[in-house]
Amino acid sequence: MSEAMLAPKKRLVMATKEMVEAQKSCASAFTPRAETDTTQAAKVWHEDDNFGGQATKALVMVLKTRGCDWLIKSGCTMCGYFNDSFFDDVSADHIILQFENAMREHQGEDLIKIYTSGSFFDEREVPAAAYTQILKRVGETTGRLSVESQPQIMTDAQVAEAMTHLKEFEVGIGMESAHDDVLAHSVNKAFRFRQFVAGAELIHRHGARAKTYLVQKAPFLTEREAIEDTTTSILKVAPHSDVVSVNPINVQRHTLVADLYKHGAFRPPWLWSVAKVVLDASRELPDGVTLKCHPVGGGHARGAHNCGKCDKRAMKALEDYTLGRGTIRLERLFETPECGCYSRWQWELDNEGLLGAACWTDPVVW
Amino acid sequence: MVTQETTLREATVGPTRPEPTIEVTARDGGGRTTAWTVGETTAHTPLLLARPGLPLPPGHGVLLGPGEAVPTEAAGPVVVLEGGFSVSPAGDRPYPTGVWSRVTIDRARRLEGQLSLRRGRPPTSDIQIADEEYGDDETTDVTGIPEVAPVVSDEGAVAVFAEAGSAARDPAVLMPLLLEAREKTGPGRLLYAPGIGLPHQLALLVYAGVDLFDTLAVERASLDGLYLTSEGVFPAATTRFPLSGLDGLGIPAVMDPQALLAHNLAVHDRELAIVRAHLQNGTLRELVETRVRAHPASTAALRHLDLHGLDVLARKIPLTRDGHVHANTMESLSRPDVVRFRERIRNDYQPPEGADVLVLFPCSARKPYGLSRSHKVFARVIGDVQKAARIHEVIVTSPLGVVPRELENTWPAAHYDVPVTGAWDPMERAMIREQVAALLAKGGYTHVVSHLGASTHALIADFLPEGTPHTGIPHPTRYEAKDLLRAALREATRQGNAPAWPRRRLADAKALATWQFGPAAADALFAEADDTGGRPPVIRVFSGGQRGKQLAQVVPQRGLLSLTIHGAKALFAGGQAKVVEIDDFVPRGTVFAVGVKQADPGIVPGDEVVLVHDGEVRGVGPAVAPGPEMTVLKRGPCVEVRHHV
Repeated sequence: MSEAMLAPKKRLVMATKEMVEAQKSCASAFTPRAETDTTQAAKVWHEDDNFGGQATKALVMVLKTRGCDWLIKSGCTMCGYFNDSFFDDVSADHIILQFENAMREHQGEDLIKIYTSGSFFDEREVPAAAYTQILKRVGETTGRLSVESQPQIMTDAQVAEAMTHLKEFEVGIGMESAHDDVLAHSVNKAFRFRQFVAGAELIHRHGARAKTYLVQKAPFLTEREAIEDTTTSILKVAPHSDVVSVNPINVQRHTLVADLYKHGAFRPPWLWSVAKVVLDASRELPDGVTLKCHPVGGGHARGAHNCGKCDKRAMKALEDYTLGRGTIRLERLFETPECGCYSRWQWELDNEGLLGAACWTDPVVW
Repeated sequence: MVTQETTLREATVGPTRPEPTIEVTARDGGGRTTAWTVGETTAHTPLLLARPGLPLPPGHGVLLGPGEAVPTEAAGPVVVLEGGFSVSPAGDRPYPTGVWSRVTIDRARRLEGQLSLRRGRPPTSDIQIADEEYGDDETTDVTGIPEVAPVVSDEGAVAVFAEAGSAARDPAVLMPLLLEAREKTGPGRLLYAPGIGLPHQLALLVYAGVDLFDTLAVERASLDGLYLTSEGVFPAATTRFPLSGLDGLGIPAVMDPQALLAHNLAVHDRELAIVRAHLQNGTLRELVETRVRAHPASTAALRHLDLHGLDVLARKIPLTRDGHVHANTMESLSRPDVVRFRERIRNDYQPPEGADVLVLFPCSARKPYGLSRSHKVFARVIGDVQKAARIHEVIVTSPLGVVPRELENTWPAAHYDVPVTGAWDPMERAMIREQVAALLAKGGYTHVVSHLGASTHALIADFLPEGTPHTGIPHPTRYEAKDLLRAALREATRQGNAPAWPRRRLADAKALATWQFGPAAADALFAEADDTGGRPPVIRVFSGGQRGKQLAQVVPQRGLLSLTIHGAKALFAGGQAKVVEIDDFVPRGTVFAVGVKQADPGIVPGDEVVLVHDGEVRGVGPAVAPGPEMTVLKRGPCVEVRHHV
């Protein structure tokens, strides 16, 4: 039996298995840094945020944990979070210590944001004792907390407990795409759309808020397919979300995406595409839902980028929109493109599908 | 009887699947020109598939994406690429009228392709098979990756090398993948490499085996403001003097995007025409070596191709043909046909029996060497030696290394030109030393005389036997050198006996046979050979004396042994023949693919092949196509029959 004779669906299953294996081999190439002090958070910083529709100052901390359980088992193709996790034997006491040490930086910010490079509700990552203690302490200080988790892991009891301590609670869910096909064969996500819907419903039932993260341009999609994927995903997740955050994929170390990038098989999205997604989706967004987009690494080769000359203009338009200043700059971007790379981008949208299994990467002439 | 294929199952292109045929019309390196026929229309590859609406002269194909309408003016091939994430596979949709080939790129292919690139090894499935090939086989085991056998069929005419666009970032990755894609595609289908090929790369890519190109790379380069020429790429902004006349637009005052695109497309189209012309002229390799100078990475690409493709390409390049080899560059040393010559000398060639005095001669500009003034002088000196039948003449040269006299009429020994400066470069030195050492290691020489020039002699002097006279001083053609040579040869042949000339000529013919057929086949062919006739360079080989059976003849025009039916039977009986199984007919004139049932995959064009039906030898003659093509293709000449039963 020749492989060529296989039906597309059969081969899709096979290729996906290969993808999972490839992703595992990327993650296993990563060695956790030795001699790390697990009583100190990985990172702590202050930032301005828009929380519940209001400009807010936030204290942000990234806690060191054993890392995302899914990442240990398999991992998503674009996720390089093991760069801040994968620590051995992080006890509940140490997590509490990390939190307390980070809280010394607290300068009266209204909001505490805790990232764990995994799921805050997963007891394998954040033991119940630490969970309770952190909630208590936030309740005593600001009462406003933002965390992240996979939706199928959190329980009714956990969210209920959180709401006894907190005034406002926001749970971020890394949904990436609303299309199960993309989740299965491009992202290698641990859950599917229906589990997201159930999780968001649980969050809302307790009066908490749901913030949904989407990616733009999962691997193996063309630029045009990625635009379609993200635009429709925004509109599919919006009814279940308070905030939708669009994250153009950036190339993170030790990921499958990084390997594809290295071999000329992945290009981060154009900022034109990101702007188009945000602009198109903003026009159909239901009331009360906030759309955000802050491209990490925007304007750089490993993040969403254009030709280099017009990147700042696009980034500024996205930033304006994210800060609630409307779509004027985004509209102007397309009304007067000015930059020569605009027609190049349009041409690639029309022609990338003809490239077979390849994608347009930044050109190399030989 | 041989019959030309006359029936096409589908005369018109319609809603049903067209039935294409591919006929190879010329070959050079891994490249070829083919006639691609669907219904009553024929197109010729290498061919450009253009996106609709581009300013190009007629005569190219059309490339369409999913759902795009077939242009009404399209008179040639229309290839549709379909599929993707959001578009459902097109398998059940009706075949669009006017479309020659439709290929579905589904998500699995994209995923597989990009993963395989990442792995940095040849992909398990690098080729998109035309949608006709898709079968929905429910029994397929999806837990393992099945072994990929070359899918060969002339139903889906176009195979797409789907990773080309990404692999092309690095020629070191592209070249081995491209070679493998070509092999998997098989000769019966056309290999399309989407999204790659700038004008200066076309010759190389065709040489590597690509049949179909598109305009995507050129369009993209134009949007990037690049000015393309056959000799390389540079920014349009720096171009003050555009090539006039090519684009029919004169010299635009400013290189506006439309003019740039028109220029680049015109250059691209023209370069493909140049490639086709060189291919038919047998000089594609020379063109490739010229074009790859455009960029160091292009040159590296050719080296990667030679490195990985030596065997694959040498199996397609004729053993003998007309036309010159111009060994102008360093890469000429590694061109597959030249390497094949040297490898056969090292591995297969056995020097003639009884010729135990080796004399090394310099090469001459005139080919074959024997026609040159210097070699005529050498011949007269040898004629002065009484036991000249003991002398084995070998010419030391570049890029072939060593050429025994009895091989001097072979290709490319009789057909090469090399820029002569008198100084050898390091690669040539190493190569010549290797070849001379291999020849000496074959043993059997009691004496060696070096009549080489001083620099060549110095190059190999250290492994010549002690006391080897160097007679080429002060220069091989000077009268002092002649006297030295004569004296040295007389001294070397003083003791011992020389073979009779008929026996020596038999040995020469057999030595040629070891190079041409391999040593085992030479033994089988010459097992009962006992006499020779003819006047050198013609040598006729007989068994049972000159009135017995003629087995073969050395034909100077080809430089090779041509077999008679008796020779064919001797080889076949010894199990050493390269066999083409034919249908039940007496072969006359030309055997076409339609009459071939099976052919030895080791057959190289120019090989003497034995035509056999049901264990019975029916005829003999030189192959004109590689063995695998005879089996796979349904059209085209395969063997020129010289003798039949």
